[in-house]
Amino acid sequence: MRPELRTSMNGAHLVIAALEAEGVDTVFGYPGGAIMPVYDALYHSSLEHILVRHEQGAALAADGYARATGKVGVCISTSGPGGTNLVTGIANAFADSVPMVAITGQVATPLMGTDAFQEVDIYGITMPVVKHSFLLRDVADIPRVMREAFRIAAEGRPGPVLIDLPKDVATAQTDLHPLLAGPQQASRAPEPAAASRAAEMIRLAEKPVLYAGGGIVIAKAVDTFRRYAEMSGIPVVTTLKGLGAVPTQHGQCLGMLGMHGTRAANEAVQNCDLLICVGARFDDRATGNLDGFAPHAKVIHMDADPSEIGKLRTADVALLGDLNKSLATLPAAAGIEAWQAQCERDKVKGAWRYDAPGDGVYAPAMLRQLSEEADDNLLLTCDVGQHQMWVAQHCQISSPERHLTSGGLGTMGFGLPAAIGAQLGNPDACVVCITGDGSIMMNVQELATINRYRLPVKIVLLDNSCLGMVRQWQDLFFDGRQSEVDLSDNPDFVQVAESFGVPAFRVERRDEVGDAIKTLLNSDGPVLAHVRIDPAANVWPLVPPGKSNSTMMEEA
Amino acid sequence: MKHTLKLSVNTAEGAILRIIGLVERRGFSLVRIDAASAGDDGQLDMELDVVSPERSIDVLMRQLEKLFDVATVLLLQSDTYQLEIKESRAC
Repeated sequence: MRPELRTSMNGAHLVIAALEAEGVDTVFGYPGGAIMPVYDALYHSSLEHILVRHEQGAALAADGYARATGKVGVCISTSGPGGTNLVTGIANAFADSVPMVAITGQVATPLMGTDAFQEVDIYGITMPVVKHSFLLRDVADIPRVMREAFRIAAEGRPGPVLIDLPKDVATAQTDLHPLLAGPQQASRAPEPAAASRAAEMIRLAEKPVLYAGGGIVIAKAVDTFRRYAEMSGIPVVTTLKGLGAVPTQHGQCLGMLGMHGTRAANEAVQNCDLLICVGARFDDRATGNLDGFAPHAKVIHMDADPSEIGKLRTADVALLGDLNKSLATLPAAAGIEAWQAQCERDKVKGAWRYDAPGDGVYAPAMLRQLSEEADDNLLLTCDVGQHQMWVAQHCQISSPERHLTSGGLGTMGFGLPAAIGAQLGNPDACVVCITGDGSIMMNVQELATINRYRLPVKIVLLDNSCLGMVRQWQDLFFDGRQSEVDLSDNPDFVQVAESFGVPAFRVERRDEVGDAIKTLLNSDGPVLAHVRIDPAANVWPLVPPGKSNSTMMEEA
Repeated sequence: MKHTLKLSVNTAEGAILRIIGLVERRGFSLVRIDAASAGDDGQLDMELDVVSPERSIDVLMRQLEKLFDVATVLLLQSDTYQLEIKESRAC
């Protein structure tokens, strides 16, 4: 008899047994009162539990783990503040379609609705940011709910699923067994008539563009997309999450489109006559003013999620279903040589320059050099702000699952926990977290987690002593009124890291960058580079908010 | 436009909240709700009148169909309707 099936099994044991049956090996969490039965059941389980120092770190680490592995990330917290601390991470997974199961403790069912200690309606609070959720009121429902939660989190367009587990349900005796994972739902192929219309549009197009989004990696369609891109010869622009759909140094890749996109990518989209949207969703940061976006283009929209079709831009043809199957129906383009040449000329004309004057560290050049000197084993995680856009613009990205960025929600504090999750899910990867002095302080406590598990995460902290992106917008769009963006009283980040047991060093001049990159890439354990950069540096180019992508501001 | 939707809902804790929350969050105003048990098979019949000056009812229907508690969504009718709705815009 397997020990977990003993007669003294309770609901919490069943939850843990179900996680094991789902093939989960790593969970992220933080214990507390109402979740104690689950932590007791965890004590003898096969699961590796990663103890974070704040529940938000657990949810974001589970998110990073899921993105880096393609598996469902799992996080666990107690009731009340434990649950509310998970919310940002759950919302982050929802915005970026990341498969996640979040398990929250809840007060016992007779106490629910009485304002009990650490009671909060986490089921209600999270409703707008989950793909689905369950309130487990009966121990007999645990096998079905656990199976359903993993199925829903992973299938179709993935997302987070919350399971709220009252304490009396967790302690209720049961002799049930977990359900075994069933066959995956067959993926859907596009309608043949729609595929024929799309094929005809591609054959007739003179200026087609592939607009590649995060759906490509979610659908595990990176190889299929690359084959189609190369076979068709159609120029590729990507969203933030689509970066790496073709390697960013690939000849056909024009770079990221949108607010901080490349001129070549934005001009290609603005001038194209056919926009082939592959797993992207016409997000406002990508389109700028929607009315002026790709004004001459017909649209083929390929997605797994029917509700994305026509949400923001009317599609002339929608190919619903598995991107692997949809891409396989598309033909090569014909007679687009002049268009390819025009895109190539724009790309050469708009190539990045790295000859910024001065002796200070030029962040774009440092990031470029770092990604060039690392091999394809590099796995980047980002925080949010100027450095996030510099990574997107300047780092060589070999595939989308090697660039983890909070695209939809824009969560400052994502980078460090995401790096923890990515490193645990991919122990051989060279995980580098690019962060800022604002962002790192949002989850700085997770340095303790890196130290506890001796995760060899490399941290590049680009410190401009301010909230750079907000400061840039205040300078540009609020007449320079710099309101509450000064962080010049930051702590000494080298001392902070060292006090957590993470070795750290400072980089203050451009001539120190080469050695710093070598130190980062050659360290066996964790290390933090505290890099001072110009507080006045901006991210260019920039499409002002509400303007069309034809309106790109450049450095004066 | 005002649209009348008929939903068949699997009775589950929070299902009605999920539906109402989605409709309003996606930029529609609810101007009528009827809901009643469809019998003893655990189904709930709902009718909603929803109003939006510019958002697509087709997209809203697909968003509702994605909810796991929603079995079916039908559009019964659409009429012109005057209602001031303040929409938030992304910055």
